Amino acid sequence: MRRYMLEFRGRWLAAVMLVAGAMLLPGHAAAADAYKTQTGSPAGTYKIDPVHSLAQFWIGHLGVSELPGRFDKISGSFTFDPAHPENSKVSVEIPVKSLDTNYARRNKDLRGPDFFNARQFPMMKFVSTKVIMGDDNEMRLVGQLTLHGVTRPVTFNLRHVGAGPDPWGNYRSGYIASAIIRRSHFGMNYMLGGISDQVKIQLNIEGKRQ
Amino acid sequence: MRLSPFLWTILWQAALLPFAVTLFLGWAGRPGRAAWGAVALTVGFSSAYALLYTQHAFPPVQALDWLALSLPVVLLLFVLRDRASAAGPRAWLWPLVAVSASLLLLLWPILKAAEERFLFEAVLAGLIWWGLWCYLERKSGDGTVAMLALTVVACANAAISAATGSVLTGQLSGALAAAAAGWLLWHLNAPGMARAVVAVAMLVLGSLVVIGRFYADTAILPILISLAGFAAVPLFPWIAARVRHRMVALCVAAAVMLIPTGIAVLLALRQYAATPSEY
Repeated sequence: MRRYMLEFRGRWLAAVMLVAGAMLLPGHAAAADAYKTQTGSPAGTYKIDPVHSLAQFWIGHLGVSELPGRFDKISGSFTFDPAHPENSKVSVEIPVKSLDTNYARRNKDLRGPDFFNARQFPMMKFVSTKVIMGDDNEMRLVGQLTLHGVTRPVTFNLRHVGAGPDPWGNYRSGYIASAIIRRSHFGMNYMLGGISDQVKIQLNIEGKRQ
Repeated sequence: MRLSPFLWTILWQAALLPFAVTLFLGWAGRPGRAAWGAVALTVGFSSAYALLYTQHAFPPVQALDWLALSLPVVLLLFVLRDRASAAGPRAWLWPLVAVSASLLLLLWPILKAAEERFLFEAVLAGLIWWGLWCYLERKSGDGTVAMLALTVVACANAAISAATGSVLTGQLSGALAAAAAGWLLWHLNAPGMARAVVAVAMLVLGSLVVIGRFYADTAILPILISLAGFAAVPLFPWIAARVRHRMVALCVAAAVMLIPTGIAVLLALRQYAATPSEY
């Protein structure tokens, strides 16, 4: 009798595990399947989704560290045409006031006349002039960056992260653009002795096809 | 405490250099000559301005760019005015024109995006600036005390601006205080002060206060309280009448000036400490 009970328990446990496995596995596989790098052609015009996009920067401090900062608000649009990259274009606008370096006093300094002068130059803007296709998903994005009232050419390394439909029926495409600029080229020369001239910038952009 | 080369550079640029240049020019020129004092003050401040403010643009783009132009223009006009000794019933007109033009040039870039209270604050700032300028011109008979008050107020503005607004305008205000102190050393026993000296000092101080307030949101209450330091100027004859030595009277006047300016700096530091330092 005892042996029969043990056998029954073992079978019951195995059955439960089987059912649970059967329930979990397709879900897991579906989730993995949904995270695709690309489905369909990403060609089209996109509006930047500010909720899933961010501009970040890293700046050297006293030669000992690289401090990160970010701009929480970003807007704009981009058009991507893989067949005719010369028709691709990007336009991004970032309000300087949305700057955040995780330290309120420093944020105030940076927004003030010592650095960004956000009162006078409230917006940063990048408008592309050329997209150069590279290997795989790597590209070069050439354009004019307007910062602190100065417009200068800047070339971003551009990586296409992926594209595909979202669960709500929209089509999305995402990119990461990175570049190194010199703040002195944009007339931001204050405290070059303690804060580096070179600034790494990175734009993580996700767009919804229009 | 040993200062790092970085802090030495800041101290040198914002205080030692303008002080040394003004002092040297005061020695090289003739302290008795009215115009020379204004030139020494201008060059002393400009030496620091050139090193600290390294974003110059011509034609001017940012508010601080204008100082490179307005300072020599005001110096020239007010030296000529001193030579013509254009005192009299319309003495107030010159400072009024200078303040109006400066205010317009400094605030023009942000006029379009101005908030509702902007105009009110700008007019108020202009009136206070003009009023103090005229007041110091009238008190230029004893320029030592007037310049002492200006030095103390500029020092206070340096601390207030650095703590609650812009570090750069704070440093420039410190440079003005240092240059004014250099001028003072040559004029401790020469009471007269040219109107051109008042013009240069007031143009710089007023411009820095306006830029700090309108571009960097420098706290307004400490600024207004610090300006009460000028109230010690008319008290000086009363103090001098009770104290035998002029130097002692000047020290007492300086102590009186330190009361409102000290309160203003403490308020600014309190506000600085109250700003959340992290999230």
